[in-house]
Amino acid sequence: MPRMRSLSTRFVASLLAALLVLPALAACNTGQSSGAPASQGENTEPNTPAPTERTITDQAGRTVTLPAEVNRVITTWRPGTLLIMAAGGKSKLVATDGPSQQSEFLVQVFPEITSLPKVGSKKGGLNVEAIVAAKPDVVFVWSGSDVEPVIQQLESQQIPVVVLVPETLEQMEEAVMLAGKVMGTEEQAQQMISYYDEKLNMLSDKLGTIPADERSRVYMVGAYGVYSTASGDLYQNFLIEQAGGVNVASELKGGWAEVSAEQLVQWNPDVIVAVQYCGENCDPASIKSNPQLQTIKAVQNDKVYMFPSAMDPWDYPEPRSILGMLWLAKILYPDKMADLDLIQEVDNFHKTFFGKTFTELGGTLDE
Amino acid sequence: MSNRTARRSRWKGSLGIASLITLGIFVLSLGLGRYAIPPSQVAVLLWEIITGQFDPAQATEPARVLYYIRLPRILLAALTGAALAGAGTLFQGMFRNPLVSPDVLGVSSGAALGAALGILLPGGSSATIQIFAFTMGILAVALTYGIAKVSRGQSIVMLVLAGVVVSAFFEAALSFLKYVADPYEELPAIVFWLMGGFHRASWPLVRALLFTVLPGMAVLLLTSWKLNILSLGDEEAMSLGINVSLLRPFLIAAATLMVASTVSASGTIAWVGLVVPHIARILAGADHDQSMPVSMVMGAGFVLLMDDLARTLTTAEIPVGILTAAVGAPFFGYLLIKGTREAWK
Repeated sequence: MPRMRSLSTRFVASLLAALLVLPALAACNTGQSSGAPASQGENTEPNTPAPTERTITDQAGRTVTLPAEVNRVITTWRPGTLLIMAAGGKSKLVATDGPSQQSEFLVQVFPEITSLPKVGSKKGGLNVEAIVAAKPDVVFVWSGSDVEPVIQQLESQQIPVVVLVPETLEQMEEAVMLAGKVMGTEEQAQQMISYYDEKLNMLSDKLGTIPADERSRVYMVGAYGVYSTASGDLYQNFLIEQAGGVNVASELKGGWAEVSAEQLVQWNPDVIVAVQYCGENCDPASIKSNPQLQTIKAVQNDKVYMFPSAMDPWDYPEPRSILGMLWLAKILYPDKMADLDLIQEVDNFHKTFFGKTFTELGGTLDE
Repeated sequence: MSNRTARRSRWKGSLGIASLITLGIFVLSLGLGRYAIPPSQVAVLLWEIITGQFDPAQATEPARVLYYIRLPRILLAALTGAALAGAGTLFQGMFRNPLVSPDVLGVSSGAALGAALGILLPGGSSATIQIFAFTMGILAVALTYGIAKVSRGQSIVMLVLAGVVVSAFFEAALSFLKYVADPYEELPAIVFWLMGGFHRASWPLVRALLFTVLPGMAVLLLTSWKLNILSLGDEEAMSLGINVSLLRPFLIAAATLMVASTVSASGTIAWVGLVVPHIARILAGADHDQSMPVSMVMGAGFVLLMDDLARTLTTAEIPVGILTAAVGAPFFGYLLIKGTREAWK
């Protein structure tokens, strides 16, 4: 008898386990249909009807109760919109912030975005009544004290709010996965993360063995002109490191740090990269002709570049920053990265996650 | 004697008209918003809320929008307007200077620094930010008053100069905090806070504000006749039996409490405290006993109207400080051109 019972328990258990694993398998697209593990004997609750609600924990650590199915989504800041789209939520958007609808890139990959209602902006404030009027299932917001009253007001309207904090690579992967889970688009979210992991592994395989004293030393021209640079706590510092470089200003703290021309000459970087939004007189031609900087190796060896892309900067913490890393790696180590066809990679990425290739969108990696 | 009666009836008229207009704006505000609620429904809901039949737990969506979003915001805007305009009238009278605004003693720069500190502190919620802003706003004024007190010289001028000193110092400290703030989250939050607006409105906030603004307004209204004497100058006031060294700090404290609490709730709203007192003076005369209530009522109406525009003109929020200045400045210019010499007699 004990033997019989254990057999039937095992049978029921494996059947239920198979039922549980099946959707996950389908989502992963592995195509394997091997037998489910039979050792989950404890996990044998009877099949309950689909729940009408579920709870998740967002990146601010808040517990959020969501409807079983999320079909109407609002994002409230541009990087958030990008992230939601990359996580597969394009068709679920019912309203966005204003700047998202002014982004050339977003409008090109998703022209319908301009016909959606606008709900304000991160910079100018969100209009809570406009959000409520769009009747969302869930609203994605950034983290910060400025958005806290909005969260409270939306909670008073019984509208679930999910906070995303995509500021480091780990947080961004977490945010994509969370957004996928919230919207039921785990498949594309997982695909995105796999792409990231694959490329990061590739970079560390190719560049990880370079000894510290042979690494390219990089100066990044930041948001406030030639003498502002990415300090150690910016995402751009991380990006330089992932591309195998050394940020000469990594010891500084506090966002975009102002430095003196003398300090820059003293650092004598191998490569200078200027972000797209650096302002005036910071394009490669101006830097190369700047009399104060003539002794710098990067200027002498003609290694001054503009960080892509002209369409949208890729150096911010957002899904496309992986392309920025690949680009920088190729600039710093052309020999080691010789087998990377960058424009093809960029095209593939855009096609997979945003539906159109970079070239189709009119993008180019030329300066 | 008949002159006095005429002025009094003119004052009553202007107070009545201002009150009516403000009441009209208030009613209008209830029906305005990006979320459409028909006026008839607004009326029904309002009646339920006033008579206590309103049950938030079972409320429909329009009811929740009206109760939790629109109503607290309208009240916050009206309270802020009344407080700023009242404090403006007080300070302009006290300092005998038409260019003085409620932040002359440094309350705004103090509150701004406090808010930035609250934003930079780890784990700061919007409540801690407000408490920081409020405390630092009061601290700044206390510092100004202390400096003026220990320095010798004419007390009124010293107060204004000390206010300049304290404001400059606090603004430098704020610039430093903005410099060290990280550009992703903290800096935008500070800039956003400084811009000001009523989007932070909630019932707890309105309730907290009632505790500071209403007593402050009562003090200002009840002592406004003494302000007339105070505005004659210290010596004159003392010879008329007013204890200047007691009355002045008392009034400053009352106004500071009001202004600090509104600034900590909704940031700096430009021009209201400077322009509205002038308009009130033109309408009601230079007698503070008469211009003070008119100023408060008009301040409430003006800010309420500007906030209505801010939240309904576009789907985005237009910063209300921009609107108050954009509308207030040209209007003030118009009044200057038209000639207001009479009001300053």
